Amino acid sequence: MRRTTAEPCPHAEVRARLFDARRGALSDVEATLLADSLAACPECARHAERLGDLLDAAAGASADAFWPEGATESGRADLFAAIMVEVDAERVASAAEEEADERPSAWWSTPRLIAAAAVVLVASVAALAAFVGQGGGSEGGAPLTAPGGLAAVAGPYSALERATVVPNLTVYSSPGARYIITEGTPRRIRVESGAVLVDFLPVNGERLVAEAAGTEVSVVGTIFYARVDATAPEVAEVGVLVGAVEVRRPGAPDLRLGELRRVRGAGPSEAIPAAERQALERNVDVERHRMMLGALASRLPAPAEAGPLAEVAEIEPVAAPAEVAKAADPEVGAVVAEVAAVQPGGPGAEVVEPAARAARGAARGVAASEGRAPHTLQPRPAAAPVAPRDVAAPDRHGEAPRAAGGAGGPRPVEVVVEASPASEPVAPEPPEPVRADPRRLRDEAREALRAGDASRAASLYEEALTRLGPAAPEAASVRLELARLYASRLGQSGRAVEHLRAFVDRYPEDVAAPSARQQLCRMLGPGAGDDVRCRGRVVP
Amino acid sequence: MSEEANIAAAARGDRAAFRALYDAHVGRVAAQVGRMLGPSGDVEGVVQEVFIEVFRSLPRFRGESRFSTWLYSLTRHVLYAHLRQRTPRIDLVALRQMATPDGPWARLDAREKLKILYTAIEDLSPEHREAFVLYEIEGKALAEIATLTEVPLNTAAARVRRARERLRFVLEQADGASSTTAAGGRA
Repeated sequence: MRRTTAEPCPHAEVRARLFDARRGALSDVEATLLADSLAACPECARHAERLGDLLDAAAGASADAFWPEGATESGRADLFAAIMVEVDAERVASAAEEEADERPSAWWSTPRLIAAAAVVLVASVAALAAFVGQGGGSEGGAPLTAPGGLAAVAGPYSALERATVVPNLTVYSSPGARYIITEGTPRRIRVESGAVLVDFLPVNGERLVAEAAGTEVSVVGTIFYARVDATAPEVAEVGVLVGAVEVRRPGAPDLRLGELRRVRGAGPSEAIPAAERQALERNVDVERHRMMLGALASRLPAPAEAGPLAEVAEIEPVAAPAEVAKAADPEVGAVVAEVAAVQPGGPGAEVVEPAARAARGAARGVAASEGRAPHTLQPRPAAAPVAPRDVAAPDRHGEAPRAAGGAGGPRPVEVVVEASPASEPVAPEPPEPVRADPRRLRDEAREALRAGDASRAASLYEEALTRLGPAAPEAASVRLELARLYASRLGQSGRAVEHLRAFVDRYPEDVAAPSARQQLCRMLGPGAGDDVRCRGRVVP
Repeated sequence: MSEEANIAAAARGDRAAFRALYDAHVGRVAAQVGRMLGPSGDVEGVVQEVFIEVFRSLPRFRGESRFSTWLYSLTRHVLYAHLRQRTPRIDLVALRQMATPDGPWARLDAREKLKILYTAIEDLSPEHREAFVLYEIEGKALAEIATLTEVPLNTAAARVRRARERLRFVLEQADGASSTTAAGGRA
């Protein structure tokens, strides 16, 4: 029996009972009648079989079946790490905001805060004094040591002393290092000797200024270090582990110092040697810092101005920012350099959801290493009301009005050719040269997709389509697969449009044709009116 | 440590205790989230949001209900918020697979069938989707669903009925297209 979509099913009553039959909710008589009806109606029997298949697949699915394809066991296990990063970021942001609210505009105006800072510094002095066997220091750090010069200072990176100054600022200092922290806006750290590694997380655009041998470092959200050798106190070394900084130096071109680069005095920049980098990274969790940056960035109240260094990875000459005065500290003499703020953001800023996902992804080992300086982000969407009964008044959302539509009514639906999984292929393998069987090609394409290799999958599907020929029954599905891959995974909307057009033209009565047409017209955007397939349609 | 002790410790910020709670409950939360969102949903993201919310809310958990009940309710709220914020998406490939001829249909794997089912119910409201999932997939009784979702029994029944109609309608559309397709000599 052939039926078109416009005709109502003549066995609607039979089909309506299939759900109850599956649950065993029919009486024996009803069940017998239903079985007879199904025997008399092959279409209904087919409908029943498929309905049962779908519901059985869902009922029998474990939680694993709902996780993204290709999600690794270890990646899923790391979800807890991602959760704790979000939690920590929230706490850091909250604590830092509270602290900032209480911080005076001038460091000397609130004795309580000076005391708080002093406690941290005294604690650092005590720890360092115990380590080097000496005490003292006017405000922080131990007396000047490091008689072996810079090489000697580089050695003890593995033994840096950690001091959390405020929730979003942690300082790691080498034995014998001497540094001074001054409260204020911005907070300042002056490194007088030794090596100081700083892990600073920005909250609400807060800045940190570090000085070393006249070098003034102003940063937002980086991990960097500054080092001064007692035997050459006019020379500062600055290196960056995460993010980038801008350096202004007298007698030398200003420069931007990118990730994993360092510079000494007026010399040229160079890569941080691998061994030194490893030693530094043993002190600070770089990946966690990146994740926290992502999580904190998603909490920014508004996009920050594009920073000059958002895309910077290498040193290059730059103009000195006018608002940053040359250092005039009489104690540090003539050598003055300056590192300008790395603002969180840039032209290619992400929106909050991708950022949040990036942070999650980083915690799960996905694209973590691709994070650089903090991005400009839209504010996180207002938190949804979460009110378990035991916590607050119950949310009687059950019948809450919706923007449009209900279960059976019209509702705005964005038709997208499937959401893409998280990551793109890293190292696609070349396809095998000859595959005569299109079915095998499709199987291999699915396999490639499961492995996260969308590019190879598309190549295999294209080959399958060629071999199938336009009249083959499977060609329609292959075209949709290709449209989905090009649109969602490979960013080739032109190719997706080609396949959607071909699909709509060849299979106008297909069940997916209306949605495919809608998707096509949506992708064409303002140009949809020029396409005959979209004329007279409202493009969402 | 008992769960009560873990709850108390986690509420004070003890990460090890929170980890223990997470390990004990993440499977159930993931299943709840997965069944509501389907295989193409952001299950990981929502599970993450749930536990972040748990960490925030634990200090206010007064123990007036079982922790699992409280967690279930919290997960529901996070899910509803997520479903209301997102834009429904139709998976064209899954949509077309509904009209797959019998032979290829038999070869579809469980994951593909899951995608088809959730595509069919994609534009259901969160309320109807939840009722459908609880009744047809989890096999719960209407009375239980009414309690869980805090609505009268007849409301729960009406939601299930509407969701069934929706699924039947979509499948019948696919059946019709499939018949047309078969008559035209295509799959």
